[in-house]
Amino acid sequence: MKETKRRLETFSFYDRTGLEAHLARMAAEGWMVEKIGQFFWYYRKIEPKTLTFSVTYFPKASQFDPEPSEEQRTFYDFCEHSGWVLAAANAQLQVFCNERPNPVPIETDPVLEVESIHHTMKKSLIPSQLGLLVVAFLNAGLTIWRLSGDPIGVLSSPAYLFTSLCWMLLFLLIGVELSSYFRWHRRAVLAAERGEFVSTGSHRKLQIGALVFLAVITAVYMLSIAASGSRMMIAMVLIMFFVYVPGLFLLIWGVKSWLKRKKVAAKISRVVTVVSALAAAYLFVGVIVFGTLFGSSHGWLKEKDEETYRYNGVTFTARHDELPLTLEELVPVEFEGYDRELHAYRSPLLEKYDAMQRPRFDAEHYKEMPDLEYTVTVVKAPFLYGLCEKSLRQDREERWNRDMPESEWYSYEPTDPAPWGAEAAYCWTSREYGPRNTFLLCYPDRFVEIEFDHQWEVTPEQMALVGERLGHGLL
Amino acid sequence: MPRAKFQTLTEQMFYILLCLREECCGMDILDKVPAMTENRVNVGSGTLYNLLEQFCDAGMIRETKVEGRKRSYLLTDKGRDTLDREYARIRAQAEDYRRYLGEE
Repeated sequence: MKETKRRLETFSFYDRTGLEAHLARMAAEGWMVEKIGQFFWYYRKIEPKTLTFSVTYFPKASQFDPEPSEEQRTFYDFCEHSGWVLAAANAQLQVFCNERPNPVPIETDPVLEVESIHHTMKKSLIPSQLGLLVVAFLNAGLTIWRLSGDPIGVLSSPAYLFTSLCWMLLFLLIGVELSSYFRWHRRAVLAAERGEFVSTGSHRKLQIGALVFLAVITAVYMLSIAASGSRMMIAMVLIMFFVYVPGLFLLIWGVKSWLKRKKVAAKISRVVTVVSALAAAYLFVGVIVFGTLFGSSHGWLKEKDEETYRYNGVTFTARHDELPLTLEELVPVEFEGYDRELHAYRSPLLEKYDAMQRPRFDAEHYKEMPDLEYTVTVVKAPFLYGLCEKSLRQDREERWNRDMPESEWYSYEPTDPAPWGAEAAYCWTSREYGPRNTFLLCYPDRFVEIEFDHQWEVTPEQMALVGERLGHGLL
Repeated sequence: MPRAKFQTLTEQMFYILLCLREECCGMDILDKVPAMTENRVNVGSGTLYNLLEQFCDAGMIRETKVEGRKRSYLLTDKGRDTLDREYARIRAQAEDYRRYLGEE
């Protein structure tokens, strides 16, 4: 039989009404709150009984206090005299319980109670949450800006989608929390003038939904990174989720607990904790950067089938990735020495594959060897098809022509899609130099951008092979 | 519009100050107020703690004795004036009530 248990309580910090009812329900079920931790609330088994709980706020208390101050203890004495026994406390939040029937409440003046809650909120939660709200807002703005410039790059990047969704979630949660608090405060101040108390509330369903959503996007993100097979990415994500974030939390918690045990004054404790957290954050980043550079230089993070070679004193990497379409399949290739790279970016919304087959610089005939480059964008969320088409056509034209004289402007001009087996096909065409050997091909679920050497005359057979492999084939 | 601090007193403020015409500690007040009002008025421990602090800051009461965590207080002249003014206000209200009903 378990004697203790811990729960993640999703109440708003100021929701005394919700917390009091919840704690009374827990006591009636035989669980008494005994400690409020950083993340969890801890309960111990008791005989089920009817208890009255009171949640109050002591604005002068701080999470850095080594122990309750004399003033706080005096407050506890007053409460005890009225039958209220301290059950648990965390910084300003104080939880009392009372076994007497119909006890005199701890707060009997609504004006003073609202002042006390508001002082506490102004001292602790409001500044930190406003700061986070500003950062989340800036991040949301940055995401929108990047999304307007490179929607495919953003929407196909699991890392970018994950971090953007996290910031948006944070923005939503803090926005709802703060606006609810200010609305409650305004009502409570007016009601207090009439001598009335106003109940508080929480957005528990929203918080639980947000936690579930966070767990799902984290799982999807980690799976997509694992599926990418990139050693560098896997290493970075493992370090971030299992070393950096938990390490930082453990360090802050450890420093705070140690300073409390040593009974260091709250002001000094706050400064030492903040400074050590900042120092550790920078140190960890430094170690990760150094480790990555060191690992790369020793080949620990080398992708499979990757090799390095030196040419004219410079080190280059070459890979032997399996490409969905190779030069050899299109034209007879007489020479050896190609770098074949396929970079895949997969998110639940879009997949983007950048492929290239280029001669290595150290190949004997590299100047005469043809090359091939293509990008395939697979639209997994059909509502993004139009956005991707616009980005690939109009945005590319705008970006390309931005600093060019009008006479040299390029545009994607329609060409016959039938040989490519496509629904639409466009050829990159200059007003001055005519059509180039670059094509944008539209298929029902994807787009293919392919660039051939300029001296290459693409035959209908080669077009059909492109359509078969890249337009309809598995990637 | 919020009332100016201590321009008028709430019932709880009134009885706390009334208790402090004699030297009292906080816990005495918690017992005295219900006793003197036949349980009609009760002061919560958190409310009392905050009011004692605010009365001290406003110079309406002063600390007279500290025995461990037990602190005793006494009304100052300013506090007495405030209490008397409140009493006069309540009496005036009562007079108005009587006069109005008497005239009807």
